[in-house]
Amino acid sequence: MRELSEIEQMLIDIAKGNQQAFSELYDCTSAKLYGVCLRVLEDEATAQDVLQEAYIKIWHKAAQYQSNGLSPMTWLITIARNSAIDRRRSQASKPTESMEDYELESQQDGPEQCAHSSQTQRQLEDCLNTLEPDRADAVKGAYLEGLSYADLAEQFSVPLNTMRTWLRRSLLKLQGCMGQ
Amino acid sequence: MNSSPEQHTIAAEYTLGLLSSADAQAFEQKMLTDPDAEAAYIYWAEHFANLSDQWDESIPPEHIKNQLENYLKSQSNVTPLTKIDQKEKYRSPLWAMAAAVVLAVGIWFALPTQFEANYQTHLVSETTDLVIDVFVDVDDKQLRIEPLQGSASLEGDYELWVAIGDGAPMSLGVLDINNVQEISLDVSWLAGLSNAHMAISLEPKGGSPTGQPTGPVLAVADTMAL
Repeated sequence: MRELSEIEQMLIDIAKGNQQAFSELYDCTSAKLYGVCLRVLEDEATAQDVLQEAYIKIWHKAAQYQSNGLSPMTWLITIARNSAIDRRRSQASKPTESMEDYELESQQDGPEQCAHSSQTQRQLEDCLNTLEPDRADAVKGAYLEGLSYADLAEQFSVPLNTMRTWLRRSLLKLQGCMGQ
Repeated sequence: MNSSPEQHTIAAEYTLGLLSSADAQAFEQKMLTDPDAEAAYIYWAEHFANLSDQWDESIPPEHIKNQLENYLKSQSNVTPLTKIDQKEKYRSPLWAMAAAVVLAVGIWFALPTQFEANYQTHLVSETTDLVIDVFVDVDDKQLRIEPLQGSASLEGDYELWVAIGDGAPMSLGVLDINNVQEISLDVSWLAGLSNAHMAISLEPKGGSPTGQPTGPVLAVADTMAL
């Protein structure tokens, strides 16, 4: 994957209607975003459909990227992941918990500030390792596979409220571990 | 960041997609006015994105990019450009040539310049070569159907449907595969398009005889807010 700053420049160019920049962005990010869709949807045809949907959103929303506080890859991943989760849940006839894209409008927290570094990556992984293994797996399942509380409760064979309590405690522990 | 632990947990649950629809919307509203809530969301989104290495990369099939590029070409005259960029492009001979091509295929005049879409549905048939975009301008109560790819069926007519939430499909009419169609809509369901999907079915010539889809469904897609 290319440097973040290049992706950022592509998004700025896409916002001006530059189709070549869109083509380049697709070339260097589609394998990751398709991976996200495949993992959440577990079906190639549906994942391909949602991938297209995500890139159409990226094309239309690129102008909004510049004013949100997310780093470029996080913004792209969020669009793909939310699109995939919405499709997964609409297929399962569970229209609650929509992940309709939230468009950040704040001018604060520039993207560079939030760029991933190996340090923050290690930090998250180290902190996940401080949780009991099944609790860490539940957090990862929610993020990487888009599992809902109901899905997680079923997968870990615990009542829904227990899963909610598990997750919330895990998130508090993670935050305490990672700091602000 | 000065969020309470509870707000931080809600931000994390929102980021993971674990909140109910009502709670997620409430949190989105809060973020619009509360920088701490927004900062908490960014904190979690960035930290969780560090797990992205655990999504295996997979190269999508070639046709996905081709279809996206076709889509972009069809959009080239409605893409929001800054005024400066627009002027520069119109001065360029290359752009003039591109515009001539667009004129030649008849799209340029077919698209009203005042149409401002709030919703889009990108319908791609997996069983035929049909690709259709449907745009809705809620304010002006206009629907625009753009056929991007595909040819008319010999077996019948393609019919477009919309369903709000879990509601029954409502017909939007028989598709004209060769032309952009515009339809005026003065209907209450326009307000429900944030939770809607559209579909194309193959029906007998002239459209479904029952008012509900009777033939095979060729494409289904959620309506997306723009």
